[in-house]
Amino acid sequence: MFNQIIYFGAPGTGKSYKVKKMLENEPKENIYRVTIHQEYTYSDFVGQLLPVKRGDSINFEFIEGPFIESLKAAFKDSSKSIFLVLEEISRGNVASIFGDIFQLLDRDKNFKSKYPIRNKNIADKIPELIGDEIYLPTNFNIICTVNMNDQNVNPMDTAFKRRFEWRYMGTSPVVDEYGHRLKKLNNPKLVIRYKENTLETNWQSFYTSLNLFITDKSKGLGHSEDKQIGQFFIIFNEFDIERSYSENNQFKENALLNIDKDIKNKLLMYLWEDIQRHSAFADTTLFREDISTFEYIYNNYDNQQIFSTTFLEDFLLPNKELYPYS
Amino acid sequence: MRVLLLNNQNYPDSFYKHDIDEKDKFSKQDRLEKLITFRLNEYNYKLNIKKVIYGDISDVFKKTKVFVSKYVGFLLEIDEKLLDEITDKNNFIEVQEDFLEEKLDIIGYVFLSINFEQSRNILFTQSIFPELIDYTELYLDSPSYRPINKPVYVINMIKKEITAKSLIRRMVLMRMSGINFINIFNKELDKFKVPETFIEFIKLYETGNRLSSENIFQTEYYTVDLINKKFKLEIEGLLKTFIYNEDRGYNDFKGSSEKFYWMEIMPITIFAFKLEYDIDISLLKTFFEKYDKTFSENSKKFYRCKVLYKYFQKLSMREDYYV
Repeated sequence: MFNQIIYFGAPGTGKSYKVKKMLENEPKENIYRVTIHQEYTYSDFVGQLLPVKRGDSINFEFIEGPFIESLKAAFKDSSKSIFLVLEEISRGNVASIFGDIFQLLDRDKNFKSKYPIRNKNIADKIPELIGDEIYLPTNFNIICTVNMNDQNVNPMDTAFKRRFEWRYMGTSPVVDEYGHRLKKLNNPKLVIRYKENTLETNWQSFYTSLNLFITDKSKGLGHSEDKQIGQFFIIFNEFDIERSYSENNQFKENALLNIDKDIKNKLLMYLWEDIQRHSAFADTTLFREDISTFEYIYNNYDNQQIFSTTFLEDFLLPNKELYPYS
Repeated sequence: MRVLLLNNQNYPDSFYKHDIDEKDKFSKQDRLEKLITFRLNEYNYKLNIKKVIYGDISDVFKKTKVFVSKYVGFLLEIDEKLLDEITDKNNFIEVQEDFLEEKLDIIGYVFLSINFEQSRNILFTQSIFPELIDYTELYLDSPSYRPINKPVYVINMIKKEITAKSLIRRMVLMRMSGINFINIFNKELDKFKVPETFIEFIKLYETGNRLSSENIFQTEYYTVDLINKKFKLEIEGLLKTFIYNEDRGYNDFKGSSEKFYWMEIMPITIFAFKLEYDIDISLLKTFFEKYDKTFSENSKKFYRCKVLYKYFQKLSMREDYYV
């Protein structure tokens, strides 16, 4: 299969997992994985002169970046599919990272670069190429992931975007090949404090209710979809998931404690900083209106109602068993 | 370090039958080795081939699937120290260990021509067939559309001047299909332009053929629609090689004549494919459906014809092949 793909979606929707599954039957030596970050440059991507210690002396040597390494492998044996995986590409400036290589992303009907470029520095590393012209061959695949809601997101220009196939990873709970929801997958019981009592639900029902509230324009916050979260925003421990439904109270209590910790330590900050704080003009709030600090939320999550009544009564309560565990 | 490994079944003995003169202290072998490495490096400066070595290729490559004839060679990347350990003073490999091939990297396949032009029909053809088809079969399921997984270098060893248009055309066809054709002697052949479009190819190298309209050009091997970018394989050329043999109970090809059909259409089809023409193999498909069971099961010629047909099928289907 020929691939030049960007998987995109909200955080925790399983983009990296999807790529991993896609490539699970490919030999590891044919996969070149890079995580992009804000300081990532063309030189990191292609290659650069770096000091190398050999014995007692230090010399400058050209160290190939993942682009040259993977391209060399593709030309070395055209019977092998080579995969260059770029994770979180929006964290870097892709136009700058790709530089002149950007021109190669346009593929012809045979999935070869339509417009080769002259780059002697790269061409010289590939003995299979005659001359200094380079192109991306048919067996060279590029797979990227983009988290649309990263704080350090660099906008991607249309010219770059249109050279990839964009595949959306939705926030709905994962289904199997027959379209059946995987009920037990990452779906622990949750206990949410509501007024003087508690409200029992589960993770799949809870996060989907959150997503509804985040995007709802009439009663919710009216945000765009990229503010939503995916099923794997938190990956719960499998023991905790199973034990949260246990008849054994001790097991259940311990599991629920751990699950609460996960929520506190991995979700609440995102909801406070990325969701609540960017909702200044909404008529409603995710957390109780009287709460003004994250410290309060964090310290009281497991013993008081911290979510707003609107969210709990209009969104979570009606959907608390929307995606049951069994 | 990079070297050219040649099959000791034929080399360096064949070098001593060449019509190059010995010069000063240099034997025919010395001179030809130097010329071959020089021309290879001149053609592709990145190769940096240092020397020619000889060995029993089947002994060197026990696990790696390679196809061997006496004309075959391999461009190898090998550690210099290891090379010193495994070769004698005449550059013959003595394979001492089982894991030698794991320490070798094949960076290209080499096919050498015969030394003299004996028959124009088989010149160059006999050097690369049938091995090229065997590699094509091996890589039918590869993600690339190339028939073979590494670069191919065909080395023209003929010293006598080549003027025959048919041979020049054959060289050009090979280059059009991506084969690196290197003239050790006849350097003036390099001036013959490798066309970049079909119109250019027709104007320069197709003569006396049928032009049905301004846009459509036809030969006994193919029909090409230049405006709509459609390329259709014809079988007139193949049927000429066909023997109907009711007495024997099965059909056959005359001598090696089917090779000339393949030698003609394989590079042109690859050329059309590279230029993003749609490839139509419907006539070939009909031929194979009709005659598949009429050839002897032991017919390697027919078997190899089918391999090429499957390769053209892959080209005609393009990305649907992998769905």
